[in-house]
Order: sequence, then structure tokens, then C-alpha cells
Amino acid sequence: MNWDIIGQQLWNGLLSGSIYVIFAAGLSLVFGVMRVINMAHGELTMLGAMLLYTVTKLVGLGYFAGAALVVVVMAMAGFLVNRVTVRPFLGRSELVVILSTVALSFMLLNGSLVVWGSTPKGVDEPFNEIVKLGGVYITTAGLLLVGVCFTAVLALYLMLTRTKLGKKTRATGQNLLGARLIGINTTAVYDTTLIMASGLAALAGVLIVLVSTASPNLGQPLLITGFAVVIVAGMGNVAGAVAVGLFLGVTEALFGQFISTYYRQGYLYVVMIIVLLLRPQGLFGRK
Amino acid sequence: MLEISSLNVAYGRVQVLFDVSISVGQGELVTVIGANGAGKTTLLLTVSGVLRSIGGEITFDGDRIDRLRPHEIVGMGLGHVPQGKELFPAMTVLENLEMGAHLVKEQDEYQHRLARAFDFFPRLSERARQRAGTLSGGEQQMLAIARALMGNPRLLLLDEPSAGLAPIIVDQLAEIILDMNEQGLTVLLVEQNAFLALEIAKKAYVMESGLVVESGDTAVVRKSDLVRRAYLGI
Ligand SMILES: Nc1ncnc2c1ncn2[C@@H]1O[C@H](COP(=O)(O)OP(=O)(O)OP(=O)(O)O)[C@@H](O)[C@H]1O
Ligand SMILES: [Mg+2]
Repeated sequence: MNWDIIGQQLWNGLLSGSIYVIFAAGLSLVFGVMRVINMAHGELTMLGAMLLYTVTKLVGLGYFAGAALVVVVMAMAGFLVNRVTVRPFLGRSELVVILSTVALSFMLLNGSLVVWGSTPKGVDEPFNEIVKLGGVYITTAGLLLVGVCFTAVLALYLMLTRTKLGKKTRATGQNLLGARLIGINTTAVYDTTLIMASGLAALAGVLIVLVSTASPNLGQPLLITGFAVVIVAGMGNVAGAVAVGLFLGVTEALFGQFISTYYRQGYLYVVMIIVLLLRPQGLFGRK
Repeated sequence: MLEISSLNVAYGRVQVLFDVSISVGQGELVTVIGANGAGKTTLLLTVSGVLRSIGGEITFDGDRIDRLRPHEIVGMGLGHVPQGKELFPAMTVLENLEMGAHLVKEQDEYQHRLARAFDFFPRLSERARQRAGTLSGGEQQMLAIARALMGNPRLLLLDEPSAGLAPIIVDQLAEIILDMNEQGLTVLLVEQNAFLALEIAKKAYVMESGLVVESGDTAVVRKSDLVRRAYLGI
């Protein structure tokens, strides 16, 4: 057994797992509160990465200023996502809402291919020293990624459980009619939910470029992985998505190293199918 | 306080309320009785703005409310205890109550309301840390009423609070409703249990298939042939 290789894959898995966590948290939030499957969530992350490329390379902002700007702008765009693609179709069949977010996803993907082309773009990290820990190579940019992911998810958790806005958001997710009848403005709750989810998606995008490249095609595979995480955790369970996101990130990296790089993507599907067969409501889901 | 005049409501193309007129005065306890499907729940949901009318008018303290949204109407002082209770099942009893008072900013006022809710329903204070979804049916009904009280409403709509409860709990509930009314709360009580409703209300309306077919003082309504035959079985 080569412990250095295992350690390296644990670190790599932690990097991708952190991205899965923050990505799936937003996806799960929207489903948990609004019962909406947002098929455009991957494209919001992709836009985060591409816009960061534009404001750093073409406008000349630094990484941190650019990332902050992109996340804020994308969060505000979440309001439009709700008002244009979700809200007009609520109350109709769930399929209609899904189709409308699929349409948004296609528009964003194809629009981005026109604007940026399909070649991956690099973004300069703010710092990138390589640290050797035992036999494992760790980058400072990677540490930044992991730290920001966990801070963001912790902030989301505290917001949902400790603040009045968060409690109103959870209440709306648990019983829409009950929330309306005690005077919660559920339209505003839906707006802020998509604002938060869109901001989280964009945050994932600006973090991905710390360890990888920005490309209009990065959203689609991430969406599939995000669904695997959300389904295995149980739809709408944000805390469960954290545990499962990390677990899948790490085991996927180990699988790729020791079993097959080729079937690495397939690994996620297999886990998803096994969980669905044994526990259709997901690991942490309630019936 | 609440004036409903010639209200018409439809689900899609199917009309279920026809020219319904109901008046609830300040401090009154008014009941609407009617069999399954008469349109009682539809009526209450239209008052609180969840459903839109296709005709008629609703005023609350003189202000038109039939084009407002639920949170605006609740903000004006309306409380609604719905038929399905519609609690937040994964939240604790305390969190449900806290949500009922979400508009309250001052901690003192919140504590005051909480104390009053526990006064009416001591059982809930014993269950404060329990998740609402694990309460018994009677406890859930109490929590639904207490949650609405936390909003400090001036008018309370109650949709079949006695449904599915043991007779002894129904009696306790009747006492509490009377008590709340005596403390100045105006109540519009919808019931299938005509015995209970006609016992505690001063004024009654009888609905059938979306129409008000009988109305007046409970003492009079109770003696009408229609009510004796269809609701009291005497
Ligand atoms: N969402 C809906 N869509 C279509 N029709 C509905 C809907 N809800 C209720 N109805 C119909 O409207 C009529 C009135 O229903 P409503 O629930 O208001 O009656 P109710 O008097 O409250 O009955 P119950 O005592 O059983 O609660 C019924 O015929 C019912 O089938
Ligand atoms: Mg009803």
C-alpha cells in the first residue's frame, strides 16, 4: 500500500468534494424550499467561472475583487431566475417548471459558447504555493477553496437555523399554505431562496478555477454529480448533502486511482442507484 | 368587522360559492355550519386571500381585502386556523409558535404572547421542544390555534377545529374558544359539528352547496326545521 498516493487522492477528493458540497447545497435548498428542480444550477456555476475569467483577464480586476463582484451579480440574477423561469409556472405541473429551467440552461450554455467559445480558459489564482505535507502535495489555492466552501456552507446552516429569515424559509419549505396563513410573504422567501442558491452556485464557479479551468461546458457534468449528491442525501436535505458531497468526492477520487479512471463517472451512478434501490427517500431523507 | 357580500368563488370553471353574504361584528362569535363540500373551507380561504373571488366584496374593518395577498391581510390582524392545521412538522412546538409571531420585533411582546398561548394551552408548554409532526391530533389542533394566536389577531377564523378529536378534547376546545371570545377576540367558527357550534356561537349561518340557506341568532336557527332535520337529527 502506498500511503502517499492514498493521501494525495484524499486531498484531491476533498477538493472536488468541497465543490460538490457547495454546489449541491444550493440545488438542495431550492428543492427543499420550493420543490423546484433547477436544471440551470450548473449553468449558474459555469457563468460564475466565465464571468470571473472576463472580469480578471479582460477588465483587469484581481481575483478577490472579481470573485466578490461576480458572486454578488449572480446572486442578484437569482431574483430574475425566479421571476422569469420559475414563478410564472408554479402551481402548474412540476414538469413545466423543470422544462422552463432546462430552457434557461440551454440558453445560458449556448449563449456562453457563442461569447467565450469552447476552449477552456485559465484564471490566475491569488496565490499558489505548493506545500509538501508528508508525501502529499497541497496547494494554497486548494486550501482557500476548501476553507471558503466550508465557511459558506456553515454560514448557510447558521442562517437557516438561527435567523428569522432562515426560519421563515424553512417554514415555507415545510408547509407553504401554513406559511402563507401566518402572514409570511412566501413570494419574498422564494426570491431570497433563488438569490442565495444562485450566489452559492456562482461561488462554486469562482472556486473551481482555483484548481481547474473555466469553460462553458463545466456546468453539465457538475449538475449530474450534484443530483447524485442530492438524491443520495435525500432531496431537500441540505445538511445531508454536505456529508454525502464530501463522501462522494473522496471515494470517487480513490475509485479513480485504484479501480478505474475510465469508470470514474459511472461510480457516482452506481452509488446513486444502489441507494435509491435500498432507500428511495435517500440516506437522510424522511418519508 | 368582517363583511362578506355576494361572494362568488370558483375553482377553474366550477363555481362553488354563490352570492354568499356573511357579517361578523366586533367581539362576536359567529358560526358557519354545513355538510361536506358545502364550501366552508373555500369561504375561509377566500377571506384570507389564498383564493381569489370572481365576484363580490370582502371588507375587514371597512377596508377592502379581497384583492390583497395573504400576508397583507394577516398583517391587518387576521388569524386563520386551517382545516388541515398546516403546521411546520420538522420544527419544534416552540419554533412553530415563534413563526406565528414572526412579525413581532420586541422580545417583551413576544414573551408576553408566548405566555398567553401557554396559558390557553398548558399542554403545549410541556411539549415545547418536541417536533410538531410527532404531536397527537388534539395537540396539533391546539398548536395550530396557538400559532395563530401568536400573531395577536383581532379576528380569528377557525376551520373545523373539532374534526377528529375525542369528545372530551372537543369540550375543552369549546371552553377555550369561548374564553378567547370573552377576552375580546372576534371569532368566525366553521363547523360540521352543529351541536358544538350552535352551543357556543351567538349567530349562525347554514351553508348548502355553496349557498347560505339559513341565518340568524343561534337560538332561532337551532329551532328551524332544516337545521333540526339535517344537522341535529331531532
Ligand atoms: N382545489 C379544489 N379544486 C377543485 N374543487 C375543489 C377544490 N377544493 C374544494 N373543491 C370543491 O369545492 C366544494 C367546496 O369544498 P370545501 O372544501 O370548501 O367544502 P367544505 O364545506 O369545507 O367541506 P368539508 O366540511 O368536507 O371540509 C366541494 O365540492 C369541493 O369538491
Ligand atoms: Mg372544509
